[in-house]
Amino acid sequence: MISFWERNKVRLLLLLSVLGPGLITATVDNDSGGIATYSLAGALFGYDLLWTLIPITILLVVTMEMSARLGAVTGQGLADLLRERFGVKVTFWLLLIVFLANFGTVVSEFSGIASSIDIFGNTIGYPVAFGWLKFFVVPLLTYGLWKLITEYDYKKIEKFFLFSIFFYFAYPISAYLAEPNWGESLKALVVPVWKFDAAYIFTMIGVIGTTITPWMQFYLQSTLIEKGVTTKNWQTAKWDVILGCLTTDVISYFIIVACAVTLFFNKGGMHIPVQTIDDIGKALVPLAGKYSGYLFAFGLFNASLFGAAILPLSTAFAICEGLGWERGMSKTYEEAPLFYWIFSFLLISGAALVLIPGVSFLYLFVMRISQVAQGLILPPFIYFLVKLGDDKTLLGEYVNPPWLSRFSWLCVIILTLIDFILLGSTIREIIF
Amino acid sequence: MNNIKDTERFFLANLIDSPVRISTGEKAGKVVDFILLLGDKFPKLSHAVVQMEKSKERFLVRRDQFQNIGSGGISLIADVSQLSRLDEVPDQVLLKNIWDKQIMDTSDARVVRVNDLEIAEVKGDLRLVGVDIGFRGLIRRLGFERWLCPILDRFKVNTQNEIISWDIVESVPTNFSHLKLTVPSKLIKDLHPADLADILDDLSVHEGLSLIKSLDTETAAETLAEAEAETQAQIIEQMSLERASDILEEMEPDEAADILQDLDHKKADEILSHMETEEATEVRELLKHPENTAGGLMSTGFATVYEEFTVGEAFSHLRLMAVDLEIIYYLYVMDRQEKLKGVVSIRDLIVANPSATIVSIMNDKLIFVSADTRQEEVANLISKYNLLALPVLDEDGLILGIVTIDDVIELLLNHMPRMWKRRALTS
Repeated sequence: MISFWERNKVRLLLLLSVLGPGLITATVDNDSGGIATYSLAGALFGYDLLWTLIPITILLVVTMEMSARLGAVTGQGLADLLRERFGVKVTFWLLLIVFLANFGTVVSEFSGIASSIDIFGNTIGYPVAFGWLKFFVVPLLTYGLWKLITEYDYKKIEKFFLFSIFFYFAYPISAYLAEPNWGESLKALVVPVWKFDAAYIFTMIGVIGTTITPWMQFYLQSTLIEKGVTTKNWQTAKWDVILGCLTTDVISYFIIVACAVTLFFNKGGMHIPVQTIDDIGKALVPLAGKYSGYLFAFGLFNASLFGAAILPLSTAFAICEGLGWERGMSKTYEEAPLFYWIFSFLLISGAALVLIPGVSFLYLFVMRISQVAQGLILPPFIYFLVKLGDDKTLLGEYVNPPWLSRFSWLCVIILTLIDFILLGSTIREIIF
Repeated sequence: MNNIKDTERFFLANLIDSPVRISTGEKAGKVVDFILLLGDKFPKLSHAVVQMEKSKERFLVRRDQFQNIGSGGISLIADVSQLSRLDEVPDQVLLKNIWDKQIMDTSDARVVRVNDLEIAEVKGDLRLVGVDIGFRGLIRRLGFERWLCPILDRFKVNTQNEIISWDIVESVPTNFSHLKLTVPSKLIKDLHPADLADILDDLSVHEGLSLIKSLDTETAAETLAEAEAETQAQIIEQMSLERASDILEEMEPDEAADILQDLDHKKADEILSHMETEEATEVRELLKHPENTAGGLMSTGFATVYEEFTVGEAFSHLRLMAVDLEIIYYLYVMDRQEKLKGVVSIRDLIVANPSATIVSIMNDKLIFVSADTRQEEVANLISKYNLLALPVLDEDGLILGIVTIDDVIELLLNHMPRMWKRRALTS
């Protein structure tokens, strides 16, 4: 027993020393949009979308591993590589759509923060007071985040985030409290269900888009480089990335199950119509007790704050990297004005938009649509990612093995098809 | 070449895709690239690469086979049948490959990305003269120049070209780059290690490693010593043990100890065991003290004299020792039991009579710290008493080392609130 510990101690310490980037990135993955999308997937379609989790997890592992590998081998960020390999035009247009989708996602993070305050207010019984409170809390948080990120060491903030991962255990607990039929849910995980229905495909793309997002790849690759991961410690870093991917989708599973049980299969068998994120909170209270309302609000708040802190920063970083502008918090405003402008614009306008009076009914919509946007921009993005991964002059012996390359191209084709099917079915619904 | 200022200049982005006209004035194809002949200070573009409209075949056009270069395109003098095909090119550099790559601007010691290239016509030759790293170059490359620049000008947004002369840029050394522009060169060797360190901090680990590899051990050590702690650790970690230990031997022991402290213990031990015994022992001694204490900051190279020395003897003693020492502002005066008795500054020595005894001129009101004194306190003492160095003593009053002002200057800067630091650095 002791010798086992001794033998593995070094390996364990090595793992801990590079642990972080993969796990943090994967956790930010379940942000406000993620929670909203998974909750709705459960609420609207029960267990019907659970089967997508396994292919999504595989795709997530494949793409995250690829960009992490690119970072470890080349020591360059994703935007850097795109710029050097595909030129300024491709990089510009890719970054532009990433910027637009990320802007939507930042708004969705703030919608999440605002919603969690609303849900909390509803649960505690003072909805109006909390409706007003939002107007103080959101600007205060925005200012706090801006101050925190610009004035303090980002590494310390990151450590705090690593700690906040534990809050995500709220979801397995709520799922357990909801007393689901575990057997059924596990079976649904492996039995595919297909519906040619815009709402179903829309939600499915949302689920894909919230799980696999371009900005995460940018973020992961740059944090890995910052940690000094190279081919020497790549094997350990790889497991951190894979572990992170698995964790994120296990959490997703619990969110879907919890919401499916309380909102889709609720006791009377009557489906509760869910229009706003409030409805999820409201629906949870009578069915699963007051605490699950608090738990839901708290989980949403934590996830949204986490996302609101990382997204503007990582977006600004990627854009400046790709366009060759000075970047990073170690630079002053005078040295890197564009970096600070993009970062501040995303943070402040994201917060301002959710505070427009009377828009709270749109929160859930914003959270969903931003994830669908992330899903829609995925195919072109993965196309270039796989091309980089296939580049032998760039990666040498670390190039995609043939099976991985073929599999990745298959994924690009399938994702593109799903995108077109969504467009097709949306058009069909509008016309007929 | 001296008067390249008077010549006509073009941007590559405006030349690419410009029309190629045959002798009748008819459009026959478009310019797709140029061939660059490296070697000159401002390298010559030997050929244009053109693509024919109908056949889609690519041909090489020698400089003497076309005229009228510009955004209006080029005019062929020669017949198409006289042109050679592109696949016959020996390995020369295609100019477009330099677009979007990173380069080192050696005059500003920074790493920048190439947005566009500037070409000048000098005595009939086309030459690459500059690199555009500015905002306007980016807009030009995106094809937005015509409509976006007037709008930006109206809003008084600065869209000036930002051009760096080709002779002061250097390619970023990387194992993956297709473009080996020039040999890591005199330009790099002439840079101050502190500037090289700035560049090093901007590069990725791989590129930084190649840069360090291209330097001699001494310059590499000086450069690395000036770099950020994170860069230092990452680079040393990736090096072969022999090279890493050579570089660390070359550094001041306290600097070497700082770097080793940031590595994992196993790696640090391996490097230490490869170092010369004497240097390794000194570094090991320093490593015993935590990083944030006087012991962690101090260096072990300092000048000592015995109290019975005369000023003249002290001078000749100092002359012998000074070669190996980091700083010689202060001479520490010891008795025969090696206990610290006082301190004499170089200034005191210079103004004193050579026959006077050291004891008579030394300052015996000692300001000192112990090895476990916190670094903030050390910094405070140094700034309060306006010292250049501060001795670190053990319980018996023996001197272990000294903390110099440059060891704590960085600390003072790092502990300033970020906003203050920014103001201090930018004002």
